[in-house]
Amino acid sequence: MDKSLDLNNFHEMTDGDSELEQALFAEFITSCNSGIETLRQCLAARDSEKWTRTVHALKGISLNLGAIRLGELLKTAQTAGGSEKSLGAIISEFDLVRNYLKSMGTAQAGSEGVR
Amino acid sequence: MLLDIVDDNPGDRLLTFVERARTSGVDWNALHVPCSGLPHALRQANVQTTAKAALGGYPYALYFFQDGDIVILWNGPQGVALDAMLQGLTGHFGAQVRSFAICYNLRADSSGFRKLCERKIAAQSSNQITTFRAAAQDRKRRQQPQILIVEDQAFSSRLLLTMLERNYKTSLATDAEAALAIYLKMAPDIVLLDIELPGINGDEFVGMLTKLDPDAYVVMVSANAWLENVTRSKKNGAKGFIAKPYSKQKILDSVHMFVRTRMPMAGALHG
Repeated sequence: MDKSLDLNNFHEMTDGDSELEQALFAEFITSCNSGIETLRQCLAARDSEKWTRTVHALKGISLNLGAIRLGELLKTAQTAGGSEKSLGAIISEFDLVRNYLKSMGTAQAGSEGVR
Repeated sequence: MLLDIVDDNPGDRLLTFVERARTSGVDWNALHVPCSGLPHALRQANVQTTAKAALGGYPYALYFFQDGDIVILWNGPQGVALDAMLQGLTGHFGAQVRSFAICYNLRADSSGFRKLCERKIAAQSSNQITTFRAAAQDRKRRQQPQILIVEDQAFSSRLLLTMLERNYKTSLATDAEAALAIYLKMAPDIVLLDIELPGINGDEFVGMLTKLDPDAYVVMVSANAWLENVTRSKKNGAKGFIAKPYSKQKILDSVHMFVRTRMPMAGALHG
C-alpha cells in the first residue's frame, strides 16, 4: 500500500484523533461509492461535463486523504475524459484503498478490545 | 435564508437547484411572474392553491421573493401545465399576468433564468446591507479572526473544521448562497472558499464578495491549482490560493498571514 496511501499528512491534520479518522474514512468511502456510481451513469449517458465535475470532487478528497495513486488516476481521468478503462482503473484502486482503510478500522477496534 | 421556499420539493436553494436541474437530464420548467405592473401583489396563498391545482401531478417548488415576484418550478411537460398555471393566476390576479410572465426550460436554456436569479439574490442581499455594516464594524474590534468555510464535500469540510475550530470561531456553508447569508450576518474575517461549488461557483462568488465588501479576505481552496485558476482567482479578488492536498501548516499559515496583515495588534499579542 506504500504508493497507494500515505496517511502521514492526514494524521497531522486530524491530530491523530482515531475516532475522527474512522468517521472520515467512512465519509471518504461513502463519497467514493456514490461518486463511482455517478461516473458509471456519466459514461452511459456520455455526460462529459458531469464526469469532469465528479472526478474533480473525488480527486480533491483522495489527495487530502493521501490516496496518492487514486488521486493521480482521477487527475488523468479529469483531463483525458471518461472511458471504461479509466473507470476500471479508478474502481480497482479505490477497492485497494477501501480495503486498507477497513482493515485499519478492524485493527483499531481489535487493539481497543485488547486494551 | 435569502429566499422563502414555500414548497421545497427540490430541497435546495434556488441557484443551486437551477444548476442541478440543468445537469440532471430531467425537464424542469420555471415560470417567473414579476409583481411590477400587476394591480395587486401576488398573494402567496393564492399562488399555492393555483400551483397545487395546476401542477399537483408533478414535483414542483415555489419561490417567493421579497419584492413580490414569484418563481414556480415544476418537473414535467411545459404546455398543459403552463396553460393551467397561467389560467389559475389570471383568475386571481387579472389578465395582465399573461403579459408579464416568462417561462424558461432549464435544460434547454438555463442561462437567462440563472441571470434573473442572480439579480434577485443580489437585490435581496442589498436589503441585508445594514445588518452587514454593523457586523463589519464589529469585525474591527475582534481579537481573533472569524472564519467561514465554503465547501460542499463533507470529507473536506470536516477536515478543515477540525483544524480550525479549536482555535477560531468557524462557520460552514455548503454553497455560495448559504455562504452569502452567513457573510452578511457575521462579516467573517477570512473565507476559505472551494472553487467547484454547486450553483454559483467559487470564482463567481469571490467576485460578488469583493464587490459587496472591499475588505473581504478570501482564500481559494482547490485541487485544480493550475496557473490559469490561480491567476483568475487573484483577478477576482482572492487574497490567496491553497492547493489540495493541503497540510495543517498551510491552512494555519493562511490564517496567520491574515492576522499579520490585517490584525497587527492581535498578531503582536499572540506572538
